[in-house]
Amino acid sequence: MPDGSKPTFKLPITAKFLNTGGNICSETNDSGYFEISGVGPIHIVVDPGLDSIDVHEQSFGASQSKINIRLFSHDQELDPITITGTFSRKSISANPYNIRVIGKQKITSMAAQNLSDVLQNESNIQLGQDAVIGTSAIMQGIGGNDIKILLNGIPIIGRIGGNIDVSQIPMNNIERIEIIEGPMSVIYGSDALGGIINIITKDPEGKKLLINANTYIDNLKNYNSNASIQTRLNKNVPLSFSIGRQFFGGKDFDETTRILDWKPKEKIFADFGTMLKFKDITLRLGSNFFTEKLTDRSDAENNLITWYGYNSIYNTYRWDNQMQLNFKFNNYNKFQLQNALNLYSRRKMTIKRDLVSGEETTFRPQDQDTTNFTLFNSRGVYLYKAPSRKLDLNLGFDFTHEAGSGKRIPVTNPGITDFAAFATFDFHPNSQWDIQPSLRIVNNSRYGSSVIKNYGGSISGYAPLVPSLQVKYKMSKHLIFRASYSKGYRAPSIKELFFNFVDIQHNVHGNEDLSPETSDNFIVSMDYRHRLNQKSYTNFNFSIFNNNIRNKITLGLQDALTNYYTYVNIGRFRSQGLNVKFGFKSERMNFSFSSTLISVVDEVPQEDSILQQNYLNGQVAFNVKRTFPKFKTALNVITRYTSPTFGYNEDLTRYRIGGFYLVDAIYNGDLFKKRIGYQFGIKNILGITSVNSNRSQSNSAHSNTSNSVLVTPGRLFFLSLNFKLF
Amino acid sequence: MRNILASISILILLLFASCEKEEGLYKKPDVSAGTITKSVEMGDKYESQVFFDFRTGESRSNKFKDWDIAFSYSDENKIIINNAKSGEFSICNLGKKSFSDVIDVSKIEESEWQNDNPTGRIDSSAIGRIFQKKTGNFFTTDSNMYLIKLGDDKLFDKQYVKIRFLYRNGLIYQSEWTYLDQTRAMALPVQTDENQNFAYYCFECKSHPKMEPFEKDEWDIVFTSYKEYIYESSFGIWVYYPLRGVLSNPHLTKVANLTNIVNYDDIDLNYAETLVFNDDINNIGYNWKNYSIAASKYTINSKNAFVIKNRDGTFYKMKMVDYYNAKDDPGYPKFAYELLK
Repeated sequence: MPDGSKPTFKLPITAKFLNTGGNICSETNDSGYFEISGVGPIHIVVDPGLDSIDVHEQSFGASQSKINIRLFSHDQELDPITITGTFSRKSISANPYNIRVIGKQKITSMAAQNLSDVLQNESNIQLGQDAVIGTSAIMQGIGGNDIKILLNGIPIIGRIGGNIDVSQIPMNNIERIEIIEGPMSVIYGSDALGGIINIITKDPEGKKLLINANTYIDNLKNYNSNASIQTRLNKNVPLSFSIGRQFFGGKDFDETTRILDWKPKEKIFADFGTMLKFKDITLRLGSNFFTEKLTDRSDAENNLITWYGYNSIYNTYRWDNQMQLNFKFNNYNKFQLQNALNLYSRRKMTIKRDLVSGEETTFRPQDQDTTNFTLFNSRGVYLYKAPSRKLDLNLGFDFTHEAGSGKRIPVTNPGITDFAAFATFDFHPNSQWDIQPSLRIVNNSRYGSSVIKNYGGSISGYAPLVPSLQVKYKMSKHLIFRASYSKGYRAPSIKELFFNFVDIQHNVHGNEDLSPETSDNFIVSMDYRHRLNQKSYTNFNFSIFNNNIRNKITLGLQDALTNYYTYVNIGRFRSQGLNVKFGFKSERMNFSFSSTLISVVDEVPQEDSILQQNYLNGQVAFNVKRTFPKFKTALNVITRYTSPTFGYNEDLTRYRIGGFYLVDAIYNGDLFKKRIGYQFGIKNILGITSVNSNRSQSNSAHSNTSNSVLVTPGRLFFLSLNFKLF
Repeated sequence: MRNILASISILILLLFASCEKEEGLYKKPDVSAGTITKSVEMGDKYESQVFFDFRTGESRSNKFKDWDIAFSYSDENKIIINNAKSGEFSICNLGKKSFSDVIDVSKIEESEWQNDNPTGRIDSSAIGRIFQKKTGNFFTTDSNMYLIKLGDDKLFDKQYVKIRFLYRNGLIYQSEWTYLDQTRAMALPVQTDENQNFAYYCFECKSHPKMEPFEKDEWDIVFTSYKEYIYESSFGIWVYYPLRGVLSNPHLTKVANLTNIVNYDDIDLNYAETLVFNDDINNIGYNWKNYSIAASKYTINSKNAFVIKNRDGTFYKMKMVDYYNAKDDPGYPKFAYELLK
């Protein structure tokens, strides 16, 4: 070990005699010693299987009878450990995917309260805002149903309008966020066409007692607080609990109306986690509960007798339960089983309020709507690592059943069952090359290219095979090139299949004959990481991508005369772009720059032509952090620019949605030997609230639209405190 | 030390706990002395249309679906269709065809089906100006064949009507028509009436219903169903969309839409006399109501305001105040108006 102490755990050793080619596998004893019998020059590999210690390889001459090996701590800061896209923990440099990690320290330095706050500072992710549906994420120009958000590898359910509201995911118990752009359908199944965002929660640390409390307040009526307790039943059974509340009082830019531009929200969340370790078995159990109440007010109306208005109250409940079992047969064979049961419910209730007397009554009880989704997922993976270290093999299965119902989705719908088998082969012919072909085959209850009858007579089918290929070339210690091809698919959602909305104004139907969306994605990237000395490093990443999505599912007007709408597989979607990221860190300065440029082409077949709509946009993010070691404080300035977005109106005239800058300045420090941490600052210093848009004026029968798009609730002054009580 | 920290943190956590602020109460609305309110009944399926006269305060209704085509009394020689009767109701010009020609409706492009523009202007109507003066009160046409689609709610052989407009002689329009699959045309003489804006006809009933319950000098506005050409933002396209709204009497009644321009309470006679009116009949229209997602219903734009100049040159101001009845059923518009003097 670097500090000279001897390891007290068994380390696997692989020794190859360079003259004979023979291999010997051994392990150190509890005192760190090992013996190998043989003669000749030898190449030794020590794989601790720990995140904190790197794999060590070294060759020795035949004359050496005694060998000392020093192991070094892994550089977690420059090359953090990841688990997304692989089934074993790998550093970024070892991961065949071009993966991005947002660590806890960075999340804390942004004073981020939810996932939306974090993603807003990422240049290659755009956010879409809707006052009621929430905040959605867009990657590589692709959003909605095609972005998959995971919690510890399990999909988060409850899409409204095809999107997961990323502002509903609090950051209080998050260890890090891992992001991979491009299809990850081989490993993560449907809905991952544009990429995945995997939120990794903290594992219980196993301390006797650790209590943390956080509080946050700002001038825009955000009042947040949460507390966590870590303890243990015994050394092998750590426990963690956390509970929190986030409250936002709403924001209104036009006080002449009753309508609030940003709706009031109250969120309550609670998490529980535990881990049991017994010999070579690790069992993780976790449960995450979340609820949100959002109030949407209509404008006040005057019927000459009284003033009245309506409040729609949306109550969202989410309860995610996970079990992860890791079983290590030996250093080369492991098995992982992950089961999850996720429940989601969203209830809308409308109240009529007499604004003069304050009396409230339920409006049209028959129109109240509750949407429910349930997901059961079971995934098992067998991991094999060849003793030669030239091959990693993962074989797995993935079973998912999703059911949903709502006012316009009949409760009798059968849901969707998906069973898949997948395999990834990771070849390392030498220390430089890494070639990973993968394949997934899917049996889905709703669609497939060849339909077969299952036992019992139900119909199911096979989706197209889903292959991918990742190639990584390590040119030097610091420089890695990657190239990948991935096929993606997205199965039609329950809403797209079974939706039914017919009244005097609407005639909208689901389509049970939909095919899945499929895509081809190519990414080429370069990643440079160089630790200059103990306290400073630099990194640079460049990537270009191309996406081509076919059979895109959109809501199409089938008959203008009857206003008959249904979901159809029409059109093609292409996006191309590039990302650049540069970072530098020294003892006192931390600087990063990132930029993304994306071109999107949306093609919709018309009767005898193709309607092509082009969109161009880009983002730049710039972050400077200055540390003051003497005062144990730091100042973090975050800026990002989103360029104007262009596209075409229905009459083929070009529209423009304005660009905008966001700038934050955050100061943080510690008191009382880090018992109290504090942060204060200003977010959105420039006070941007909306941007201009000359998108087609809507003369809709249903609603008026304005010439601007909401961006943020305004300039924000905040204070956040963190207490470590034990 | 730990106890102090624990106490501070609990105190701060409690301090930062907060709830949604209770909404303040409004003052009861002021209503000026001359304000009259009126509710009309279209029905929750919007089956009725209601005519209203500001001068007498009287309203009369009938079933708006009782007619298909109408011919104007005025020398505009306008022919209109009841295209709000169904989503499909529309008309296309087939050119020089005879009744014996076989017509394949599946080959007719969607863009060829026309609807009347709700402004009421003849040049933007589905049929347009087709009459040319021959002599005196005799007008002829180019005798094109037209195809009217009545709607899918009928049996197929009754969904389409072929019609040819032949001439106008004085008060009488002469046409001939038959169903799509038939070749023998029926004569259709339609006599207009100087006391009615239009003379109406129903193909299925083969009757001439009287659709204007008042004489044309005796009503100002009608609450009815009609089609607007709108951008349906939910689905990103422009369509002719059946709506419920208010049209004005094309004979002598004029309307100025002052929504979001001036406060209803500030409108007086002096202001009304400065207004310039146009001939559009849909100046009140439909968008005094908006569908509110928060309310899950149509809500009234509180800033809507209109000035009506009736046939006598008298000014009224008017605003819409509701669209629902006490049971929260839609189709029961309520409005307030006041004589400006």
